[in-house]
Amino acid sequence: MPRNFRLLEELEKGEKGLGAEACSYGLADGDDMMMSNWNGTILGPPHSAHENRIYSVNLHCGDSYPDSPPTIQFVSKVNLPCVDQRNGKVDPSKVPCLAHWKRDYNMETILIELRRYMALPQHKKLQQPKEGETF
Amino acid sequence: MTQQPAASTAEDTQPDSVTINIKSTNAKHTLSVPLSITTLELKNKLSTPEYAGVPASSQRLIYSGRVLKDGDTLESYKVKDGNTVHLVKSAPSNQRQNPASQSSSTTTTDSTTGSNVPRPTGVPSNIAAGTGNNPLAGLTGARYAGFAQLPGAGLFGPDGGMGPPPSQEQMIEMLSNPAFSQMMNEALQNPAMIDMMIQQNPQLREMGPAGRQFLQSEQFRRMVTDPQSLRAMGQLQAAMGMRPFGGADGGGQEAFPAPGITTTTPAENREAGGESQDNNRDNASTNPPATNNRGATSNPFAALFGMPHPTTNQQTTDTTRSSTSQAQNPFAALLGMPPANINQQQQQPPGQQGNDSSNNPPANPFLNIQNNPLFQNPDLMNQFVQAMGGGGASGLGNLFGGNPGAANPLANLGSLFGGPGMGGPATPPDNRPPEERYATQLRQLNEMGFFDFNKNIQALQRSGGDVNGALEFLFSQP
Repeated sequence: MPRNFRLLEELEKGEKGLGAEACSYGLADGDDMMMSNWNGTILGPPHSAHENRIYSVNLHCGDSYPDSPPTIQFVSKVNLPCVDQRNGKVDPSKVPCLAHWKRDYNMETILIELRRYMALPQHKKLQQPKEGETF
Repeated sequence: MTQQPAASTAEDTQPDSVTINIKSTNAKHTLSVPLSITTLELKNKLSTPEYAGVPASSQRLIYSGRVLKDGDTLESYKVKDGNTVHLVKSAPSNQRQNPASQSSSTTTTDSTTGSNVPRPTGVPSNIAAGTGNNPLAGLTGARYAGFAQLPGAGLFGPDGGMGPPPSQEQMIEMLSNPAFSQMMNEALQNPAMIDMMIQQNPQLREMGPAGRQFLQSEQFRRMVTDPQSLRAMGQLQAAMGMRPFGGADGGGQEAFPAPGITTTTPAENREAGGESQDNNRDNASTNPPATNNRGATSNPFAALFGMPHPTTNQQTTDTTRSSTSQAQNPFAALLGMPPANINQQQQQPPGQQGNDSSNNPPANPFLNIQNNPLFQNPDLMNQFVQAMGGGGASGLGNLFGGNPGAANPLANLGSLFGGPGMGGPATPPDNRPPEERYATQLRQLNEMGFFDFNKNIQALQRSGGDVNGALEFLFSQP
């Protein structure tokens, strides 16, 4: 499926809330014809330091999406091994679904995977910055 | 919470008011609001018991990957008609909340660690919204569906709702209530609901994508929500001498196990019974989608699978012409297999029926009746009926409900939904060890952060494999 059809589909899914409830995503700028920049939120997984938090991320879908994964940058401060503590960028090599990207993955996949990543036993107890801080 | 750049302020000419869906972990609300409404005003609206029943300060609204800021209007976020806003309930402040400061109904104790932690947001925190003070509230099967604002258990009668399912007339009456049908429709449109139905039923799980497709199809929804189709169905059955809905005159009691017998009874069946009763006693529009959906689906199906008969079919066509166009389609759809195939299936020993599903493409389960040779040709119809064992009600019932091993997806559906009315044999006891039987549910619980294996198993056994029920149990445990 060509990039834009795919993104339109994801846009609709995000706006109508058809996907998982723990994540939400949508176009950052509704007038952007290229649909490159997206906002996403991840609801912190329960029973972890992230519980009850809402993390905002920016996703950038390049021209080669969905053949290559979008780049992801946390807006909310979060302490995770895959997140660059200077700018919030997600290191794709540390997140399995980005490292082994498949064409049929989508932004929701990434958000859900990031959430799962937060809930991993080795990550869920990590000391987190105060909620509301941004990179 | 994060600062997001506000959406660009260039506005198109938009209608003044939009209908939006508010989705939280355990409920969905639809409401119409003016676009000029601010987030805070929307939260205040939602704080009424009619909707979320959570104070505005504890609500966070997310739309399209953005946390909505209190001062901004929906218009500034370009919320459009039919879109969904997620509602997340949380502590009023950013601090780690102190359980003591929360109301008793939302405070819970983590069963796995024994330490006090706030209820996770992923789990319905207002599950007791309507009946928080009713100690029996947690006992009703309907509540296990995860939808809040149910009436208390007291409404279900002294047997806690384990009576026979509602009669056809009551079903029709219920379905004539537009609010009811609408909610049922919504429930069936809710992918999570469908997921849950499939998740909880091994037969549906086996059907794979076909089952989902079937449950999500518009025809299915129409079938179980349209009072006319239900009525036509009842007429057909009556003409065949079958009791409408199988269990309406007491059969339900035979078909239902005692409330205590749980572990070997398919969860769906038990719940269907309880919830049917729920509908029966309280068919006001306060019923949440899950109840309606489940209760109603159980019955129409029981009826559906027992209905094909040439003469009765004729009769409906003559007497209720207006309803037939709607009514016939779903039935034809259900029987939308070529006649030869049916005969074949009947002649095969039960063990060999497994390959029938391949002959009966699930991708096209909704053949239009006009194109279905079965209904146009009386001979074929006769053949069909004979093949099914003489055309008696029991024969029909057995074909569709009584073959637990049949791989025909429709037969599976029959035994899935038709517990009380089908007269088919009960599912054989599942002797697998609980961790195997509840593997899927265990995984779900794990994903939700419940890691205590023994507790999880115990909870699942008590709830008969129902994840939501298990959650209730886990939360109720210190």
